[in-house]
Amino acid sequence: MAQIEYHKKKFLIIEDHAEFRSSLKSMVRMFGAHMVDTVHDGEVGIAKIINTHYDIILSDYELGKGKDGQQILEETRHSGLLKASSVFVLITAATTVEMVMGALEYEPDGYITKPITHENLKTRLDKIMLEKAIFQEVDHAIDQKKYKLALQACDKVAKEQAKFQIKALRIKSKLLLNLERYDEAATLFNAIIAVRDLPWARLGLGKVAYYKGEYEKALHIFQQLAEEDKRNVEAYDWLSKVYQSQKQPIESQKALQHAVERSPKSILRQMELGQISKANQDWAIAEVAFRKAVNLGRNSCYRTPSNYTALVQVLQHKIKDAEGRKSKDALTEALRIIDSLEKEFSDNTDALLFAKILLAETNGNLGKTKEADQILTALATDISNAAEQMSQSMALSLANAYESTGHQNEANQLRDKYKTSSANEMINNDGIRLYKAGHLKEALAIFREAAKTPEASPGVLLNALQTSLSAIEANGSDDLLMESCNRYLSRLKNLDSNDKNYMRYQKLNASYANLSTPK
Amino acid sequence: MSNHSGIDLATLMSISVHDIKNDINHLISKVENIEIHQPALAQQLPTLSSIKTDAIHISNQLVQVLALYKAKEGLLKPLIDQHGLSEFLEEKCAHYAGQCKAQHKSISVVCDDQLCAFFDEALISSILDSTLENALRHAKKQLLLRAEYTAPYQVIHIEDDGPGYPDELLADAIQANSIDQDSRHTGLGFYFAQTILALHHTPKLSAYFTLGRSSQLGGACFSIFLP
Repeated sequence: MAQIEYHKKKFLIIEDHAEFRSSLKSMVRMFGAHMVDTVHDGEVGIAKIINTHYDIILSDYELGKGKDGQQILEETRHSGLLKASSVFVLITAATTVEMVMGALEYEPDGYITKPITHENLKTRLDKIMLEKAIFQEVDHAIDQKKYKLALQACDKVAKEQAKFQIKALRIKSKLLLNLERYDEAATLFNAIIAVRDLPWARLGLGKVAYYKGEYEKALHIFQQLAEEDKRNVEAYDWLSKVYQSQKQPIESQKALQHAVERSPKSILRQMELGQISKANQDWAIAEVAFRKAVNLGRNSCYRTPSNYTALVQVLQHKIKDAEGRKSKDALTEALRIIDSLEKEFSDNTDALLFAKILLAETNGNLGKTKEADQILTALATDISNAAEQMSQSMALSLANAYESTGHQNEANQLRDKYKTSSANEMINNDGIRLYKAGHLKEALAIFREAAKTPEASPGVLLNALQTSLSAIEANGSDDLLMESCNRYLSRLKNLDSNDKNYMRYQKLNASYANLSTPK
Repeated sequence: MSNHSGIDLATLMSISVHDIKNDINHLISKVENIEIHQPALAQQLPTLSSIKTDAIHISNQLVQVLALYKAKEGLLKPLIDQHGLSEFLEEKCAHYAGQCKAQHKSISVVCDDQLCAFFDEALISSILDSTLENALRHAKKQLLLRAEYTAPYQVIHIEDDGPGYPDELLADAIQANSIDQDSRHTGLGFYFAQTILALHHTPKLSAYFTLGRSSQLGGACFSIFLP
């Protein structure tokens, strides 16, 4: 085997057991590595990854109470902190391998099973590094967001390296799905299945069916996968999505509950479950899910005020309706969460306003109308300033607070104004609010996802288009976004010239043409 | 089977086996810590490495027992992926290099670099472990890991220069379901291999193993056929 230049690589070891940590360190030092950092938990690990570029990260899967290795991987890869070209290796006990492995969206570059010896660490690491070298061009293109180049590089590996063919095609299929080139992705998945019936390829076909609006077909595929292997968490995630699209929110919640049971530490799933069960008015489930989301979100890139505010809102039902002790506990928790909201998001005016409104709502539900009224009076200016771009969620809490303090008219007005006909509309409104507030990245994520469904309205498509164009202007050209813009425009091609959106369409079309002409 | 507590004996045993396996892995890592941090002491105590070898052997067997229990309950789902055979075998070879050296035996790999196959790495690896331990026990000087493509199967051979399998075992090639006293060292291993390989199949073909005589070294040859 070729020699890997470990002395040139920067290592990070994430391991909670002091003894094992130092033995791992001494092992990699024996391979010649001398740039080796070690940390004892996931939170510190993520902080290190934010500040330093590491070539190789070795992380234990089990890290005690905090984040586990899979979470570290998900967070750092998802947020782009960890480059595709960096190597992430998960250390697992033999029995946890199967819990960890499988249809996961973010997979490590390799696993090393305990017990670890100097020899097996070296051979396994060599193997992973050599494989990484084969995918160097692919990873490099992905890191630079040159997705067309990445696709070509995948094809090259698949053609030239028989034993990495399937892996190369798997990466290619992910890229195609990201680029929303669904027909090509379907062809590829079918070709793979013809060679070998691999669950991830069938899952891929299900995703394609979902994005093309073929919900029955998608449902069938995901149900079959979930039935065959109850560990297939991703199949349950997608089942939940399909049920949501089919307006079966109870079924959607059930599927997601199963996924959450299997992976309780996944913050995104907890958030999703919280939102779905809250909409279903299943307060008990929503309460647990948002509480977990708040706790998991601490020191995470997914930390967001909305988990805090949703938890406090859900707790209101107990504060209002539960008996004695339960109500008191709910109150204590709500006050504590409002307090953390104010402390942890002290530079976020929106969150601070929401915290005060929640305090008023809580007081109102306790029958302390005087206190609630005082808070609302003090907020009058802030509220009127925010009136036009308040989130629906905040508006509803405010309406409750108004109602409890006898301002029935204001409450009714707010509820009328923020009444939304559909979940899609609500999502669209959230996106607009974020865009206006300058949170381009978050707005883009929302609109891109909303525009993926075949039934997306011209309004949503134009929002996605406008946000993408703004992102290109702000951050420079990007294959993925340019291609998305192109697709949004072709879907809007037949827009009637009398449509209220037509002017906007023409204007954005011109901006796109301007950007896509080489200078 | 008695059922006093509402939990069946098999489940109870599987939980215990699981715990014992973890304890043994702890023991192994303790021995390894001595080897890493006090190499001089480890060299003075050759028993230490044989304790480790025995402990690894026990641990591997317990892994197999657990896998068999899961297979029986229908809970064992293989995670099939494409793997390069030369890397897979080289890694195994490196893993056993230390033990071979200690016993003054050699181990090598013969495999075309482009060969690859579809299989669950952890499960097939476990079959190789029990076969290699057995081969190591019987080999005089040499062990060989060899892979070749014999349409429509990718074949992995584990060969040694020992006395080979007893004739009665070769006669009825796959006596997988009988764990008799004479072959108790290997009986469980064969049954395990058969169970695992049955999980590796295409719509038309299923994986299997054969026992034979090594054409290269003259001793035992254990061959795994992967479709």
